[in-house]
Amino acid sequence: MKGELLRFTTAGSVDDGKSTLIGRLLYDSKSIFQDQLAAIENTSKKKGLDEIDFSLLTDGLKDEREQGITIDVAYRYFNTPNRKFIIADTPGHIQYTRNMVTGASTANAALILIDARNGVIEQTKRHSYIASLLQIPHVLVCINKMDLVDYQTI
Amino acid sequence: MVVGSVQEAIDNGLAQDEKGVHATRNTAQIPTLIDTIEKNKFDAAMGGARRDEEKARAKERFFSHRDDFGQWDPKNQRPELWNLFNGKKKFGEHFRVFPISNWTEMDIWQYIKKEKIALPSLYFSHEREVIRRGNTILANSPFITLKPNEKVTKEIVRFRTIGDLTITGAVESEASTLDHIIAEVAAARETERGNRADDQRSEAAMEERKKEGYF
Repeated sequence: MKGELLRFTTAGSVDDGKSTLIGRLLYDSKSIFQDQLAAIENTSKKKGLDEIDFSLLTDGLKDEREQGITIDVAYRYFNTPNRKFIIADTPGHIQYTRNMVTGASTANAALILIDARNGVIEQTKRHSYIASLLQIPHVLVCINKMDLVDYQTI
Repeated sequence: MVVGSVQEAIDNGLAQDEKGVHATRNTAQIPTLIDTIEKNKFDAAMGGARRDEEKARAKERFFSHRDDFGQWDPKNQRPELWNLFNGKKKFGEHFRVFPISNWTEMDIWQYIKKEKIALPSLYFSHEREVIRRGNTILANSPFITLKPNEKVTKEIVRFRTIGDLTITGAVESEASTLDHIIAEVAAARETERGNRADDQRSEAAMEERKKEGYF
């Protein structure tokens, strides 16, 4: 197991929070370098945001940052003491499906995000189908943005 | 061996030297590279760029298409599934190929150690005349123009990345052996290219240069 490589990809519709989830995951696992964090803090401030926009970590192209969308797949790398990870953060828009497939083709696991407000929609189904077509061995479904629909912990 | 020379490109009027305190020949590499590829009718140029280096490089394909003008169109990249590479191109176009795209800085150092590869001494700690400019430690050289308040000092440094002398920042480091460097990389809190003034010119500095044909 030691040093084993896990490659995973994000999937799901536009604005379901794929890039933000990856940014947050890297932040929580302390995989963001200080200068990277300072750079996205700075950009978030310039955009008038009060909090750090974690999607800026993987949305590295100028147009992506200006439009707040992911256009092409970005790869990120991090380690834990036991494993190496390669993340492919992919776009949700239908016209960039080829870029999602590019990122998904080499993944061992797919995180399919669902915005709790919208549920399963067209791109969720399309990306899930692609994950199955590519025979990605592990699929995780992540329900996101639950705070926007009066979630409760029971 | 085919050598493309920035100096020759400048002498021939293909590239221009920049002016001012921050002048660098970094961007002069772009027309030089494109001209060399064109003259030799190369179909592909291999490079050691890695996705973990920089946010625009994180978007690269292994087999990356360049149009007739040597330009990259990051918004319209080709699909690249598994390890199948699409080498189809029109006359005058070429590819940039990045075989170690998925390697990290740490992978590089572990590989160097495993294969016992000899390295230039610049990568190991040494005493050097430097100038502190902003957050960057620049090497003193005849090619650098000092600002009025800047002083040349001697420090123990090494280079984590090596590019043009005028834009590559050194890091304070005592790491003089491979093991020492590997430990340093593992504990690093700043990115490898954080000291590269060429990347700092704007937020999209690397993307802009890559679009024009930079490696």
